[in-house]
Parts: sequence; structure tokens; C-alpha cells
Amino acid sequence: MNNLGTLYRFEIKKILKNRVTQVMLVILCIITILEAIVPGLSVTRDKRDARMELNGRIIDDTLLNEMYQNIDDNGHSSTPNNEKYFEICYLEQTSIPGPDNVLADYTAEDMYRAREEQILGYMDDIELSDQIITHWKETMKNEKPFKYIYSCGSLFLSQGLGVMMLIIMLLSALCLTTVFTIEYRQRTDQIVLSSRNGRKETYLVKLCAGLSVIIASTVFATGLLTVLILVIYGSSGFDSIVQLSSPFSTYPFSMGQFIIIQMIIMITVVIMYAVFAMVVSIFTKNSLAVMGMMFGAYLFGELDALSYKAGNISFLRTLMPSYVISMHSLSEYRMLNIGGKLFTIYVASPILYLLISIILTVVGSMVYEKGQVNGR
Amino acid sequence: MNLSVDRLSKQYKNKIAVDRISFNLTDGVTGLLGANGAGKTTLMRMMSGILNPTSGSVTADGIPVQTEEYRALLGYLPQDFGYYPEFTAREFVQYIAALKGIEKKKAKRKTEELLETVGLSDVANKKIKTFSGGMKQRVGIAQALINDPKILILDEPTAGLDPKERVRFRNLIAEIGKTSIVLFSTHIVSDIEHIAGNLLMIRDGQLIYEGKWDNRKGDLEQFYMEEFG
Repeated sequence: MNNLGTLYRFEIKKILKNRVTQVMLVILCIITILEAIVPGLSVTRDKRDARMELNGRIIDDTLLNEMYQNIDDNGHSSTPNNEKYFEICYLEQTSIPGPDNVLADYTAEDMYRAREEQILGYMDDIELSDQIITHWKETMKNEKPFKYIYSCGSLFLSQGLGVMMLIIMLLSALCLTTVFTIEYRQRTDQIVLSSRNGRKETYLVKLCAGLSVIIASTVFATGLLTVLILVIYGSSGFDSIVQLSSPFSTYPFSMGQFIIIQMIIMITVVIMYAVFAMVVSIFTKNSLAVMGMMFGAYLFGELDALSYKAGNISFLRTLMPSYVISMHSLSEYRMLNIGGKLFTIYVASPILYLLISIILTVVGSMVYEKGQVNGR
Repeated sequence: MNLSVDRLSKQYKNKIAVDRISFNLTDGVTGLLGANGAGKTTLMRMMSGILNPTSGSVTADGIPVQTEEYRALLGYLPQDFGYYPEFTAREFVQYIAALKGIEKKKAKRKTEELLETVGLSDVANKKIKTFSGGMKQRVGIAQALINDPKILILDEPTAGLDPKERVRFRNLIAEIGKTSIVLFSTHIVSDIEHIAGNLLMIRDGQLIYEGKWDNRKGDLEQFYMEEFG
């Protein structure tokens, strides 16, 4: 155990002494700070204060009629002071399709019904099974009426986590792909592999060191982002429903609950990224090749144009980390059906990521322990 | 200790790098002579357990080469010795000590002793990337000795060493050879003459000479030039 502790410390040192790692960690800090500050620049304090005046109000006919007194036919505020209705207006405009509609002609019930019809219509379009549609209908039963809570802080945090995911992926790709390839590159593999602890123990220690660095970086960045968001925007909005930020979502979460889900999934994503970067580099002995694979997978998750008609490929895309962590996933109605039981992507994806991590760890171990120094 | 190499072969697609080599080594220093491409490094890699043979076996007192037990007995200095540029000499040797399973306190003590022995105490806290070729080679020698190996395999260990360092190295190896098996490869015949009690000569993957060399057989360097020149 003594040796493993020493080996672990040296492996951490190897990772952190890498210039690329140092640069990426600095970039992670900078991006985290920017993600906390920049989104809020478009929403002035006056606007925020105005919108917060409506906190706790039920979105019903009373509130809508009040709003109609303060907007024009196009839904714009008739005076700058009535910015407070902006998000409610957006909700109604999104729910009731058609550019020529005059919002004031609609009641709250009309708005909720139109929204539900759009959602169910889309579910028909993407040919969801009756079982899944029934599931969502049940979920939507007790949704309305919505309670308005101004949620810019929670929204920015949720969006920020998505951006951080990209930086963490790059950190894994650029820094952890060298955990094993460093031995090949620096020609230390001959000494390592011929040492008593150079096979099984070194493999485990290297994996642990890589995971430690990436998890610690993720926890630090997430913590920093959360603290900055709370300081700048306050804690209001974490109990607002997700439908106010994502009108066609059918998930019964608050923004705070969604953020916790994002963070839990992020840990499993980060583990998968780290294990993938380290283990696949054992096979390829080439960091750039692994980086290419990881970036390609990331871009696949961003393929918004991939139609549901692509079937399983399209569904596979919804399980990609870049999609699951993003706000877009809140409007994902497809579910995984295993033995008649339905699983949302928020349940299926972390299980899938952990499974991939375990499989890669086992396969990597088998390959590494049989490693040879050849062709030099 | 008895190190047994039995009909060891390594074949690549269109080349036989090592061709059914057999020999036994006991405590003492054995020199391995051969031209470039003769198969010395391939042979040593198989004996160090980092290259799988096509056929044949390597055992130490019956312990197969591919086991942790064998690796615990081994000290190996490869021909193209690698290091971590950002590590200091002390850190590198301590890291190798941990890899070899040496307990922390003992590792620290042994590290200081060996750095002193190879003449690197003064620069122990300097990064290896700042070292000359000879100094890097001495770090390599130190790491090979850190676990008091019973089997010491050195691939061209004197490369990059100046004459004074070479003499120091020879004395060190001669001392170690009293209680361990030492196999070292070299192009420098005088290294063999001074310290190797036993000699292996390899050409085109085949063992062409095994045994002691004495002056009655003639000048070793001349023999080497005739065989490999």
C-alpha cells in the first residue's frame, strides 16, 4: 500500500507537471468565471428586479390580463418598465403557434391547451409508442397552472454546466491521453514494464491518478461556477419549474432539481471521459487519435439536424453527454424501453456511462498487463 | 541463483532476430558482444520480460520471466534509457524504487546511497532534462541497482560515460557480480576484458561463442574484429 501511495503521488505529479494540463486548468478557471458573468450582461439589474416582482404569481387569467395591458399586439412591452412580463410573454408566444396571433385573444386555459397539443402532436410526428405517450400524458396531468419564478441564475448555471462539459472533455482528451502514452513517448516503458509493480499496480494507480485529477477539476469548476452564480444572481429561481426555461419540457423538475441531475450525470460523464482517454490511448499509443475520437463523439451529440427518422442513431445521439447535460434534453420525449420498463435519458445515460467505464477498465487492464516493448 | 535461457527465439515477419539461443548464467559478470543488429537488445528484452519470445523460455531458479516474482529480482538498464524530463534525479530513482516495491524509508536511504555511488549527489535536486548524456546514463545505472537485483541486465551501460566514469562503473559492476548475475552488452571490448568472467558472442541472432576468454585464445579485440568487422 505504501508503494501504491508513492506511485499515485508520482502519477499525479506527471499529469500536473505537463504544460498542457496547466494551461487547460487555467482555461477551465477562466471559462468558468466568464460563464458566470457574461450571460448576465444582457439582463440589467433593472430588468431582473422588474421580473422578480412577479415571483410566486400563478400564471392564470389574472396575470395574463395584467400582461395584456402592458404589451402590444406583437407581444412587446409597451413601456420599458413592463419588462417584467417578458418571460411570461415568451411562454405564451411559444405555446400558441402562428405569427399573426394576438395574444390578448387567448386565455390561460387556451395557452396550456395549445402547448399540450403541440407536445402531443410532436410525439405523434416522431412516432412514439403508446406506452411512452401515456407515460408523458400522466406526467403532464398535474403540471398546470405554472407558478412564475424568475430563474436567470439557475438558467445560467444550467447552461454553464453544458459549456464546462466541453472544457472537461478537452481536458481529458489533451491531458489524460498522456497518462499511459508518456511511457511510450519518453521510452520509460521498458523500465516500468520490467518492474515488479509495473503491470497491474501501475495500471490501477495511473487510472486512479487520472480520475482524481479530472474529478477534482470538475468539482472545483462546478463549485466555483455555482458560488459565482449565487453571489451574482442570488439563490432565487432554483425552485422555478423547467417549463419556464424550456416550454415544451414534460419533465416534472424544478430548475434546482434539474441542475442536481446534471451534476450527478456530469460525474459519470467525467469518469467515462477519463477512462476512455486513458484506456484507448493504450491501444493507439497516440494521444491525437484519441482526442479526435472524443471530439468526434462530442460533435455527434451536437447534431441538432439529425432527424428522428434516423431511428436508433438519432436516439443514440440523445444519450451522448453533450446532449444529456444541455437544456435541449429537457424537450426529449423518447425513452429507453427495456423489458417493458421505460427509462428516461437521465436514468439510462449515467448507467450507460458507468458500464462503458467498467468495460474499458477491464479490457484496458488485460491489454496493459500483457504489454510488450516491440519494434524499437 | 541460476538464470536459464532455453532455446529462446524471436521471429518477426521476415527476420529471425534471436535464433534458438540457450545458455545458463550464475553469479558473476557476463559480457554480451555482438555487432549492431545482432540481436543483443532483443535477447535482453526477452530476458527482462518486456518482449514475448516466439518460442523458448527464460527462468531464474525455475521462476518464469513473465511473473512478478521474477521482476522483483530484476534490475534493467535499457539501451535507449528514457526518463521524465520534469523529474529530478532523486525523484526519478525514488519513483523507480516504488515501482520495484521498495518500502519508503529504505527507498530514500538507497536513493541517496546510489546517487552518491554514481556521483550525482550534488545534482540530485536538479531536473534530469538539464543533465548531460553521461549524467543521464548514471541515473539509469542508479535506478537499475535500486532494488539490489539478483539479476542485472545492462544494455550498453557505458555508452556516454567518460573514461573516469567508465572505470567507476566497472568497479561497481565487478562488486555486484560477486553476489548477483550481471549480463551487460557492449561494443567496447576493454569493458569485457576488465570485468567479465564469462563471455557470450552473438551474430545474426545466433550464439557463436559462450564461455570464459583467456589470452591463450588470442587477443579478444582481434577476434571481435575478425568475427564482426
